[in-house]
Amino acid sequence: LRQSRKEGGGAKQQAGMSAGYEEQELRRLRPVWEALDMHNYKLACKLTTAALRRHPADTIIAVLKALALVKCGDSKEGEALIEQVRATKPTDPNVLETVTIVYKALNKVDRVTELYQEAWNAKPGNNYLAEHVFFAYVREGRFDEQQQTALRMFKMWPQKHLYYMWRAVSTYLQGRSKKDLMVLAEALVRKACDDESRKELPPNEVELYLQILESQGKHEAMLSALRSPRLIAPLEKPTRANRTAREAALLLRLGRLDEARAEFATLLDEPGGRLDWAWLTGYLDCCPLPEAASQVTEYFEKLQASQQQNRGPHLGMAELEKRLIEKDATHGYAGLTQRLHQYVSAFGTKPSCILDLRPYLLVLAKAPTDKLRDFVLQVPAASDKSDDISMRLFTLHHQIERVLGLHKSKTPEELEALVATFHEKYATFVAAHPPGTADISPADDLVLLASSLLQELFEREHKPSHLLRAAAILEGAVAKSENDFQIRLTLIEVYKRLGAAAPALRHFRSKRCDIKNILYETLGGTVLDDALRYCMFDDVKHVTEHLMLVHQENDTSIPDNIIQAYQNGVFQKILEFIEFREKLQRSHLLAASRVEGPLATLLQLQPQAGAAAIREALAPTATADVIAQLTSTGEAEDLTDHGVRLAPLWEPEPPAATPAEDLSATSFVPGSKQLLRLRGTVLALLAAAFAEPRDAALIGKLHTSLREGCPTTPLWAFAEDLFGALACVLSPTEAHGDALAVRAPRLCERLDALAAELLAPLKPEAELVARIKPLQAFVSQVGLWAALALVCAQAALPSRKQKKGQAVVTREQLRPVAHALQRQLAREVSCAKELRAAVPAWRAAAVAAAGVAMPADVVADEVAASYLQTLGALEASAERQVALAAQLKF
Amino acid sequence: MTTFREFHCDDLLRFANINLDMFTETYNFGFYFMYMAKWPEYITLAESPAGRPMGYIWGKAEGEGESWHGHVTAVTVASEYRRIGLAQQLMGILEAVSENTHDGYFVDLFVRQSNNSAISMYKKLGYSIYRTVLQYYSGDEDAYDMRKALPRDVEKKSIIPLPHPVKASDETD
Repeated sequence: LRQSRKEGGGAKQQAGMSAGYEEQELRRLRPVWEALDMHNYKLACKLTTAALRRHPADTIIAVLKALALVKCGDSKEGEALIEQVRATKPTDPNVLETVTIVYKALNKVDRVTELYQEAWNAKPGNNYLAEHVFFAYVREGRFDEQQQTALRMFKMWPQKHLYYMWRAVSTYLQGRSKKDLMVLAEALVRKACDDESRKELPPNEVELYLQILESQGKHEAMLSALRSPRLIAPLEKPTRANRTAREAALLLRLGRLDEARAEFATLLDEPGGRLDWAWLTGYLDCCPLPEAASQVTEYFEKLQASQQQNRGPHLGMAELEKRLIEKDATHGYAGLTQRLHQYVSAFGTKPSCILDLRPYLLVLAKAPTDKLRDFVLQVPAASDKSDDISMRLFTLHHQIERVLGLHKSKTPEELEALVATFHEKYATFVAAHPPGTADISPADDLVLLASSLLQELFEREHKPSHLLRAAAILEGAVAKSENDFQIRLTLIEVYKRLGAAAPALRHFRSKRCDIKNILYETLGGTVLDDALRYCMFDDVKHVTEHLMLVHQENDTSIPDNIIQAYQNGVFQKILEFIEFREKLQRSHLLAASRVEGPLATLLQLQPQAGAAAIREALAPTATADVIAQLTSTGEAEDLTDHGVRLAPLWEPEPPAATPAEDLSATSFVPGSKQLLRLRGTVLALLAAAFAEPRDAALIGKLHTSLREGCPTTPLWAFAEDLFGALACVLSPTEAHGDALAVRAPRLCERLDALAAELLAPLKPEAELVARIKPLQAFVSQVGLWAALALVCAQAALPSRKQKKGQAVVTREQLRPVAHALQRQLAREVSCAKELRAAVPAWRAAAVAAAGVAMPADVVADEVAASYLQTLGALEASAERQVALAAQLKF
Repeated sequence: MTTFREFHCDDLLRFANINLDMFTETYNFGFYFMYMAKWPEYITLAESPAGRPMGYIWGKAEGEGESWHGHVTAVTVASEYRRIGLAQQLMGILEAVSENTHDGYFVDLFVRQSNNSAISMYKKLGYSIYRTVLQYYSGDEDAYDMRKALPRDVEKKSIIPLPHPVKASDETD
């Protein structure tokens, strides 16, 4: 808050306020601002209330009080106070800026626009107020009004070039959907660039001009601009290469290959210059293959000789071979293997070597297996030394084997032998070179390789003991290299495979990784699905709350940064900021959090909590906008996952995400758009069913949307029948009475079928986690939805005392459903109890199979504790559902 | 095999492999967007051929008169891309911007006194210790303010070491 006040300082002087007055005001209001900055809103309320008693007409104090009230959570009173101030039509910048802060806190930015518009109308000659009208439109994203305002401002203050550019940018932003406006924007910016009365042309304006041309695909015009004498100077900042590289890339796009190649060569030949990979591949792109292969080889060899320490030309040779193979399958792999061996000889001890080689190894992997083995044998590895270089080469040798897929053909015994070798080599190395507190040991990759092999063994044999061993080895390594986030992320994956969310979350929360801010958006998805499916509700709440804060910042702060870009003349960033903000608003993880948060709360509600508590749980997200986003197929499809995958560098890319078929999956699973739509619609249906007054029409509409594009999964069909029955009850017509007569018996069948699948007794050979998941699927979806829908239906149906003849939809019709639910919920509880009792035996068996005494023992304890925590939560939820269902009196 | 380019907003969604390092701070949006809205030319990303972020540098131009200079706000390299001279190249790019775009007198940076490997790297790049800033890091550790003179500072006045440490609260540039 204090920062926003400081930044406003200059502007206020621009508006005619003296520096002395400013000082005096700051001194007078300091205690209040300090209280607000310290988040001591109650104190701020107290101070402002006392001050207002002394000076009732002091507008700024009234605004500060409104701000304190809003921050205290009393939005209603704060808003009422701020509207009183606005009625006085203030023009004082201090007041206006503080009112703006209050409106932003109230999420009512449209009123900021009205506020400044009124002030500007009162003082039309004040350009500070005019600027803030423009900024208010920026905040709202009203490009047309921005353009009109900037035009008016430039007419009033023609010496202000910035206003001219604001008009140009606002025109450009509209030009995205209106071609004629794009042409106008281009002409406006071109005119500014051509204006020779301006001595120095700001690079940012030239960048904007190029961006406008690019957006229209005008590449020839871009080339002319890059070669225009007037634009060369700003484009050559900070170095000449900046402009040349763009010219070369453009020539390549225009197909003028000889010219492009010459430009790329100019860049690469610069003495002491950097050999940017984009320039090297740009040069290659200009050379027709295979005809120019020898010419490229000669040129890259020349570069190699001039910069021997640079990886680029060496890898450029491999890139050439890769392209030759891709062009002609008969080209053979000899050239590529030779280049890769040379690369390993020169850079094999660099940590990035395997990453550099990976794309070429994936090409080589298509060669016959004997050739691959020959290749690997020539990579140095067989050293007994435990120095840093030997360790890196040994690791690289095995990383290459893994990327080439050679581990797939090894027997379990061979893989076991490799695991033992890696572990032993790792232990010897770290004993000789213990990593410092801040270091990552070069031997850590060996532990990660061992874990990869153990996971592969698990995939082949489905024995959890392999995963327990992987976890035990990784836990041992992370205790030494505490900062190695790759080990922590791998541990998270291993624990997820075990179905043990608690230890996975322990690593996710580690201070050493320090996951915060935007990292919740990109990494939150790695744990949220498992956290929810295994009932770690506190962690789900923690992560989703932080995620919401990121999105809140996206909504409230980025508009201010867009305004900053206008003020600073950094025009080329404005569209990028706007598009980034819109992209984040379409976050799948955000949408899933809005759905799963309230559903998780419902799962934890006490049966006696009543309809008011259910309404409260659903209130935060059951708004019209969110419902529209979640229930409309089009909007759901538009959502994007921003999750990043940070697997060990040699592991293969996973197959493209497919919708989860597992009934226990939550909508946090990336790509689970259908599931998100189902759960989102169920959330909206429950919210509408418990709303006061109840909106039967909305329920009918939501149910129709549930039927549209309904996939044939048993869960979806169950939800369709359940809420179809509820819709019949809430809109009792004769037709609905008949429909319910069909739906109710079908619903019973579906409920029984789901219970038969999900609540089957524990078979002796079944893996424990394979039984926890179906139970969870039943408790968190079937049981919860049915219990709540029937409670709602019971409240809406006529009681027994009413005459039967008057009702077209009766309690009797739903009685079999209620009985079926009560019966299955009782099974749900006994299933949870049975699984809980089985945990100690699972632990003992898993430890015995792992065959490693202490570490696996400790890991097994934590995994078993995690299972017990999950089952305890499931049992408690199941018991609450039983109690809720006991209230049903059909 | 690195491509250096301007850092874009979307890179915030991709830089987790760099920022999970415990010495690399992940700031809120306000910080990143403020820099991008003021000094986009000072923010460079190093990217691998596969598009994996390798490291980045953030900086700004500040100061008045002979104190007008480039400042290194953050420079970091992902653990898997260390020991290939990436930080040196990123610093070189920032110095070129400070010299050619902003015509500064020097470039400066702050580093933890305990971070010997970083101090040694900066010395190799031509930086020297200008002064000690007491309790710069959340009050728990002192920082060195290290500087490198640019050609505009012909007499290299900007890097003459201060004889006494300064308090973090008194530090202005």
